[in-house]
This record gives sequence, C-alpha cells and structure tokens, in this order.
Amino acid sequence: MADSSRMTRTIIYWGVALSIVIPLLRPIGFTTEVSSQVRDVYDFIEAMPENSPVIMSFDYEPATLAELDPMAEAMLKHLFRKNARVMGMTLLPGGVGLAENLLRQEAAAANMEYGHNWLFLGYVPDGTAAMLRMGENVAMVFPTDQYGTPLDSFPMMRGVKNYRHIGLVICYSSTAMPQLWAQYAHDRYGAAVAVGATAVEAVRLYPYHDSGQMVGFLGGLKGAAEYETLIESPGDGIRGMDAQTISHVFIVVMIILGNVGYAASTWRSKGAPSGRTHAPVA
Amino acid sequence: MFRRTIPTILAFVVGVFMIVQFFVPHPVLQTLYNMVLDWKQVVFGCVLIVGTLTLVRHHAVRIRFRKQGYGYSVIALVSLFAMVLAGAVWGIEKGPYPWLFDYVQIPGQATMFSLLGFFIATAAYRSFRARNVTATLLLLSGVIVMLGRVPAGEHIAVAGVSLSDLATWILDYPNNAAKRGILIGVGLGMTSTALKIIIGIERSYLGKGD
Repeated sequence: MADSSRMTRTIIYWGVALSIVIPLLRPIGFTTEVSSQVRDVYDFIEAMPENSPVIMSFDYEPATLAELDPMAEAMLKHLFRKNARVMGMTLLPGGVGLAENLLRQEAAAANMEYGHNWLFLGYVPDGTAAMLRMGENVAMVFPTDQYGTPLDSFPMMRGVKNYRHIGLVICYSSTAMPQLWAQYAHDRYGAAVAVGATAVEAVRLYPYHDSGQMVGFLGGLKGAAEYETLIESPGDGIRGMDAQTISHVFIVVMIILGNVGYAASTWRSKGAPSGRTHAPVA
Repeated sequence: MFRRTIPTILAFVVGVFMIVQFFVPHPVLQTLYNMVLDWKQVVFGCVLIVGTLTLVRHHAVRIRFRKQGYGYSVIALVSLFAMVLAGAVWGIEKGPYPWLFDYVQIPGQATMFSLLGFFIATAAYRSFRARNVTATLLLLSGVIVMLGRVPAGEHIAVAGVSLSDLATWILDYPNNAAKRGILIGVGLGMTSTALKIIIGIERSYLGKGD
C-alpha cells in the first residue's frame, strides 16, 4: 500500500513538473477571453485624463511574484503609455526590492523620468494607519521618497495632497490587503481602488467589485494574461497560460482516475458505491 | 487599577472618540484623529522590534538546548543578522543587501511557494472523491472552475455552455452569495466585539490576573 502510494505521488509530481516545464519551453499559444473584472480596470485607466497621479502599492513578497509581477508589469506599461504619474509604495518589507526592480525596469523601457513620471515612496509599517493617513495627506505618511528626497520637491507631486487628487489606487496582494484598501481608502475617502490578486485571493473580491467598492480586479496569472491581451503586449501572463492550462488538465485527469479507482474499489468491497470508508489512499 | 480600570477607560475614550470623529468633521477632531493615527504607526513600529526580539529569543533557546531541528534555527538567525549587517554597513541600495535579496530571498521564497503546486495536485487527487452528494458537488464545481479558468475551458462545452461560462457563473453567483454572507457575518461580529470592548464587557485583551 505504501509503495503504491509513493508511486502515485511520484507520477503526480513528475506529471505536474512536465506539464509546466514543457509548455514553457515549447509554447502552444493559447489565447484567453477577457473577463468583465479585468476589462473594467482597463477601461477605467483608459478613461483617466492624461498625466493622472496613480498610487501603486506592491503589497506582496517574493513568494507570490510569479502571479503578481506579470500583472503589475502589464499595468505599468499601460499607465506609462497614458503618461500617468506613478507613485510606487509597499506595505510589506519584502515588497521594497520587488517594487523597486519592477518600477525601474518599466520606467527605463518607457523612457520615464524619476520625479516627473514616477517615484518610489518605499515601505511604511501599519497598513491600515497608512491608508487612512494618506486620505488626509500623502506627505504625512511619506515625507520623503525611498531615497530621502522631500516629496514636495518632485515636480510630479505638485497639486497632489491626498486621495482626492489621485486618479486610481492599485494594490497587488496575496493577502487581505485589497479588502482593507477598499474599506479604508474607498469607503472612507472615496478613492478609486483596483486590485491585482493571486487566484486564491481573487474569489474573495467579487462582492467588492459588484458593490462598486473596487473598480475591478485581476485574478491570478489569467488576470495578467487578460490584461496583456487588452494592451496587446504579450508577457509572462500569456506565456504562463500554456503551462497553467496543461497542468490543470493533468490534475483534472488525475482526479478522474482517482475517482474511477475509488468507484472500482468500493464496488469490489461492497457491491455498490457508498459510505466514507475504503477510500484508497494515494 | 493600572492593569484593568485605566486600560478599560482608555479603550472607552478612544473608541467613542473614533466613532464621533467619523461623523463630525470638525478641525479639532481631525487633528486629534491624525494624532491617533501617528501613535498607531509608532506603536506598530515598536511591535516590530518586540517581534524581532521574540524571534531571536525563540531560536536562541532552540539552539542552546539543541532541540530537534535546531540547525534551521541557526540558519534563521544567521540569515537575520546577515541581512541586518549588510544593510547597516553597505546600505540597502547597493552591496550585499540587494544581492542577497535578489539571488537568495527571491528564489528561496518563490521556490517554497511553488512547491505548493505539487502538494495541491496530490491533495486534489486524494480528496476530490465523489463519496456523497455534497462531495460530488464540490468535485464538479472544482473541476469546472479549474478548467474554466484556463483557455481550455473556452473550447469545452457541456449542453452548449462552455466551461468558461459555467466557471464564471459559479464565481459570480454561488461563490459571491457565500462570500457576501460571510462578509456580513464577519462585519456584524466585528461591530459587536468592538462595542463590547468599548463598553468594557469584553476584557480578554487585558490578559489574565487582577
């Protein structure tokens, strides 16, 4: 029994590994439909006036960058095309390096100038207090940028005091942070909030989108792929869709096989399928 | 008195103040509100220090008494002090700090999280069994959402409806309804707990003893 269980586990591990690696090495080119939640975010940014200030909060750490980096990358591309003034920040210490790398990379690719088109505010502890205080005055939370330059010395900060002067707040997260942004920044101060969340977290966001507390949201790698489709700039999201599709199909096939085995074993032992006992263990 | 009465009075005063300032946008109340938020961030900063000290103490005890797996504690403490040292000596913009972050922390954390994919695959194989009606419903909705949330689901149809549309329906209606119910319940629970703390009925946050 133990040998069979180990064998099954080995087959599943190899199957998952190959179903991810092979499509990444030899892309198939699956295309994906765009959901209403993602289209709403895209349409909102499209409708924003040129040069609008946008806060981008990178509230995630390296563990979930595979899902969240592609969507942040795609949205930065879109925002820079619209000449938005992007203020990067993070509410998690591990997000500093990730945010900084991504902002620098995309700003360099779009020829955007630091202080005029984008800046990095850095990390601030206590997310809820920071969200609330930014509703009063952003400079109260971030008197300087990450590198110690006073915020009011940047040309892009002219006329920007609080959420009233900010076109959109975008939060990328694998935790409950997006709900807090909706509850504090939107509900209390009326800020428009968009979210990029991991697929697991995204299922919690539907009520917030339906109630209008969120402009929309991107869920998991598929959300990133949908956004890349909308901005016509294929990236890691679209590339990852092949691997995600094959691995999901593989897992579904394994679930079906598991159920066939379960049905066969209950039939043999009892003559008809019933009860919770006699389940074969992988 | 110092352990129970004064903290209870403080909780009452601050709680009532936060409720009142939400509805009354008077400049004096707004100034006090900003001050409370300032204090909250300072307290949070102090909590980070306490958390770090607790972490160091916990692992130091494990190493001192050679508890099982104490090698991991050694790695945790060496990593902690290496990052602090690298940041304090060379700064966080260049030198070993960003190098350690880019080439040790990022791949390490990403790898650990990626391993979840393998565990979830075996867990799905073992757990998703059609044992009864409820389990079968869970199994079916799981399979539909798994296939419907990838491009393959757009090309597979059941009774003329694509799996992608079915997955969207599951997420938009049953999922949304359940989440709303949970959120409303959580909201009511938070409100009643907050009121109990403000009024002084709920005092477990003060700890045990007189």
